[in-house]
Amino acid sequence: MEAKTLGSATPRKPVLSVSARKIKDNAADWHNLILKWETLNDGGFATANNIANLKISLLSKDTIGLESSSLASDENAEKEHPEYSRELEMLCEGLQTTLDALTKIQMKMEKLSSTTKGICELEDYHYGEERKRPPLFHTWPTAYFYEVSRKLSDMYGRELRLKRTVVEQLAHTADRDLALSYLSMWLHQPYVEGDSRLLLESMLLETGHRAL
Amino acid sequence: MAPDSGPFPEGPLLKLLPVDARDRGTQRCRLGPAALRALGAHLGSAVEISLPDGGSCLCTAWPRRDGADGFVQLDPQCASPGAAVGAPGSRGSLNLSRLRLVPCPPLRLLAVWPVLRELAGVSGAPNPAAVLEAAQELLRNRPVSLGHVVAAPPGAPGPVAALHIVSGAPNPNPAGLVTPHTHISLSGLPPSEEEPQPEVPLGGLSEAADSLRELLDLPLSYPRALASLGLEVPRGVLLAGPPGVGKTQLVRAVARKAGAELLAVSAPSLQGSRPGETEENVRRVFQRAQELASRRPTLLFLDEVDALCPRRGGPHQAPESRVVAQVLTLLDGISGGREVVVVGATNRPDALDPALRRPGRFDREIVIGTPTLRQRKAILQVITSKMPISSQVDLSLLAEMTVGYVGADLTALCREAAMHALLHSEKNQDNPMIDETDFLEAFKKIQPSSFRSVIGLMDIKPVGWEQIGGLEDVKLKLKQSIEWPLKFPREFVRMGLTEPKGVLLYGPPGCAKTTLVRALATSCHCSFVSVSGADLFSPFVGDSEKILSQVFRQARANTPAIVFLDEIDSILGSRSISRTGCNVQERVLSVLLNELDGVGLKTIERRGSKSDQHGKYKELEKNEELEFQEVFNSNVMIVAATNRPDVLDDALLRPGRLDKIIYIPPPDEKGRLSILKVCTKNMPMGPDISLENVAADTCFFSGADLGNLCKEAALLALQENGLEATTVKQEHFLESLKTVKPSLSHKDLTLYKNLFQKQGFSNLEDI
Amino acid sequence: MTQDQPLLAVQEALRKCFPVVEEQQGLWQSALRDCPPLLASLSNLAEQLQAAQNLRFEDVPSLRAFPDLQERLRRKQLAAGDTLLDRLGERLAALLKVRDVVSSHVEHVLQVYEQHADMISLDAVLQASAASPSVAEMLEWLQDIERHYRSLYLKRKYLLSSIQWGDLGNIQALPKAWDRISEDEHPDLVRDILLNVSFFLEE
Repeated sequence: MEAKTLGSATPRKPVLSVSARKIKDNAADWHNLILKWETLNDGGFATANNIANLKISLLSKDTIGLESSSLASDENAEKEHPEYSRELEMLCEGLQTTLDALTKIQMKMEKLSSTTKGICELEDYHYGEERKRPPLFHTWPTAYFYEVSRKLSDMYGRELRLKRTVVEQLAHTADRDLALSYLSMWLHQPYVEGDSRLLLESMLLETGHRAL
Repeated sequence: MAPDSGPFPEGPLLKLLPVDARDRGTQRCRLGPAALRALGAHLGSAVEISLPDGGSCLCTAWPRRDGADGFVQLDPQCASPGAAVGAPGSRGSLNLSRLRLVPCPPLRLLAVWPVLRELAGVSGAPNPAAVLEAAQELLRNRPVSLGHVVAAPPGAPGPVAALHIVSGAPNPNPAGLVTPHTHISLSGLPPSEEEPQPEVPLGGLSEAADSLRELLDLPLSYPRALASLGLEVPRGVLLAGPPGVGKTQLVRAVARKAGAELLAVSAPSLQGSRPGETEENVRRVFQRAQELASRRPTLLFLDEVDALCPRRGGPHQAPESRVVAQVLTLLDGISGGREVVVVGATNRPDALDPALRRPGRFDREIVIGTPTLRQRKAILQVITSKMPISSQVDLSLLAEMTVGYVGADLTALCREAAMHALLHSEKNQDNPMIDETDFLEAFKKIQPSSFRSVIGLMDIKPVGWEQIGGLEDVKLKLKQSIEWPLKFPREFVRMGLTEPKGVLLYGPPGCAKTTLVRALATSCHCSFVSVSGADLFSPFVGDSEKILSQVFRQARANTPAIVFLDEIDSILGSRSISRTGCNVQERVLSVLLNELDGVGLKTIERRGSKSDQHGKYKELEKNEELEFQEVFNSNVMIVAATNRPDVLDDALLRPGRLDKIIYIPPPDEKGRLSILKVCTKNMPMGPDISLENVAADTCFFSGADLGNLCKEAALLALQENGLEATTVKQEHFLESLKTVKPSLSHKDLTLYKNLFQKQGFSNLEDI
Repeated sequence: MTQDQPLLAVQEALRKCFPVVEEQQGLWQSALRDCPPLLASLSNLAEQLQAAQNLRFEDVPSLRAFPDLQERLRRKQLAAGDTLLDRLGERLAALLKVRDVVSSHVEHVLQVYEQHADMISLDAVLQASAASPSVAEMLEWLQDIERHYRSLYLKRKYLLSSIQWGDLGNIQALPKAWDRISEDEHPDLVRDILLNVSFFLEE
């Protein structure tokens, strides 16, 4: 079915076939980017988890240290502290790297949406006000690709902002509940809504990457 | 392992061993091979076992692992209700003839009534589908018998605790097998429940019981009406009253009558040593009540609630206030529509945290005071209804005598009487009768409990009126103002008389004031509290006042009561005379004034039922005499005595307080004669003695002086004639008259006589 | 000889039944093995939910920029929880299947015995040898095994059905409660019984 539509589309409208190809590539890029994002997210979570655990153990050490150091054993805490903070620093750097990578991905996502937008405008230019234009693939009007791209891009954009906050704050949290909530935020990605998966899959389906 | 194949002797004894752990919940009955053979059982055959305690259970026969004979082990998972097998430690034996092989056809239909488990944390009734599933699972492949109860194994989860086998097809009598194809249905109605325990009738608490029952019944009987009225039914009741009046009994009886589940908790037992443990216990209790409430109305009874919720704000009471806060929260939470009524009982309602005593928590407070005369009679009737009481025993009289007795005391009294009857009537051991003397004997032993801690309670030595010589008009006045209201209430009501509050006896010293009061207390059966200065004074500021008001409070709890303040001038003094600002006596006086003539009673001291107080005239037709007595019995009478009435505060002497002021004059000649007669009653008098002459010669002698005179004369006689003296002669009297001087003088007497007449108390002398 | 015939039939049925039990026990164990990680995740998730509940998001300055964060986070967390519950449900269904297979086989054996019960003497049923346990014992064991599966399945089912998102403490305690179920009953009951009958099966 996919072959049929593609085949029928290509010879008929050579100009549009370029748009279609572009959009199809975009969809594949979306898929890859999101996959990469997920991988990075998982890796980042592991790092964040370590940071939180270290932080919490440090905190409890601190309180114990405070209690016991009242006598004279401050050196102990000092001896241990630099080591911990070095480790913590390394972990934070790792997380920062992950965040940078995520930022790059998000920028690419933005770019994808703007490309899609360009294609839409090109289409508009070609067809002008003419209402009746055939869909590029099966059913979606071209503008809808942009809409989906925009939605996804926005989601990940907001998610990235949240993640940035988490990266900034996680290592400085003294509250266990807050640290745990930060972790949970990182893991569950509250701004990547449940329908993102659906949007992506339907886009892949529409562009023929997924067989019906 | 070849079992001897000889025929079993009829019913060999099998030793009953506790069931193996791994057989628990299997419904197996482990038997030796010989027993199996004797029964003709296959593996897994249904066996009905009649238990020694009258119950029976249904098991499947399985051989013992060790193949030993002479033992039996039962898992009584399907047994008649209440049958107890293998209760820990119960070692018994079972005759083989009690085991019976029963046919066990597969069942097509089976109806069961589930006994639901209270699941922690799950609110409301579990849905029927879950119950049905649990029932199917529990009954799977089991032989069951009509009327038996299949109990879920103790550790098993699920909503079902036990299943009553209600009916089935074919009829599972004596047994039937549940197969996977058996259609199991839940029966809505419990099988005819065991007879409820016999009701303990409550004497004299009907009003309190009614109002409590109303709380339980209302939401059940008229749910829609209440909802349409937008009413929220009160959910908490506080029962207040002295110990032993039957608070606990009342709650139990009401719960039983209303068919409500009763969760009785003694508040002190909830206290835990760990911090937070008490709160946890409280929470658990309330949760359990809610669980129970999901099935039927539930009454959560917190006995001695003051231990749990003391007044907050005192020093070092942080743990307590946490508990109080917890109880408050739970009480608020419980009003969420479920049928839980919380009843708290206390005998110190004042010690409760005030936040508890508001609508929404303990909405209603029911005060149960010490029983009044009529209530005592009702209680006695209840208690004695099952005792063989001889017909001469007059319960009304008993009720009259048992002033201040609470229900528990009355029970103890009757028990003591019964014991006495049992021990002292050797003649008819078989059917002892309890008669009046037994009760009188028991009286000596049983003190009313509310009186046990009373200050200044007197065991008066009985004195008859006739033992006081002379003073006939004074006696009459005393009788009139104190004894009559008690004995002839009807006439008092008819004449519209209110009962007098108090009587002041004044007169020169030694004129039998105290003895008169004693005679008074003897003649009317009432509590007699005598307060002297020694009882009251204390080095602590405020203590005296507290003691005095406590005296009155306790006296009010035991009406009719006479509070006797001897030498009242020393206790009180006068505000007008005293110069210093605010001394103890003045404060005590103000307490007394308040007690005599205060605005009303504290609510916790209320006694009897309200209808008694308001509608007392309406019910005259029935039980008239008692009704009238109730009216007049509700008060405390003050009798004060002084020989210095002039220093008393004026406020004390106005009507409404000590409204009857009786002058007790020194005896006149006639009086002296009768006093002398009384004093010399036990003396061997010489024939020449003319008491009339002595009386004539003893002007200004008080009664005490006369007594002294007689004593002197008798001593003189002893002195003269040695120890062999047999009689007292006139000369002895004349001799002693020379030494004994009268203690009164003319001046004193005119002072007394004119004291009140001057001030316009003209009615002093006329009757 | 005719007397032996029914006994042999019962023994034959037993010989067929125990291998099935062995196979099902493997399935049961593998389904069970999948559960603890899921339960741990669930308990972890409950902890996260609890933490988010304890937190006042509006009091955290860095999170003020995300007004709908708490609601979104909760929704995501619950969605993740539902996924976990679904997967646990699948495992439970596998356990149920094991239970029913075992039940039907055991029932069959008992039916065979019932049919021939009148013809088998008590002595024969109780007869045990060094290699093989008595028929009575084996029947009893089968019953035990069946009840074992039934009770364990029921307990697990009740445990999972007690999960409510309103009671996070309960969910956090799930792994422990789950382990306790396994410990409560004889954990090795089936294995021990299978060991006991191994010679009988080889005969």
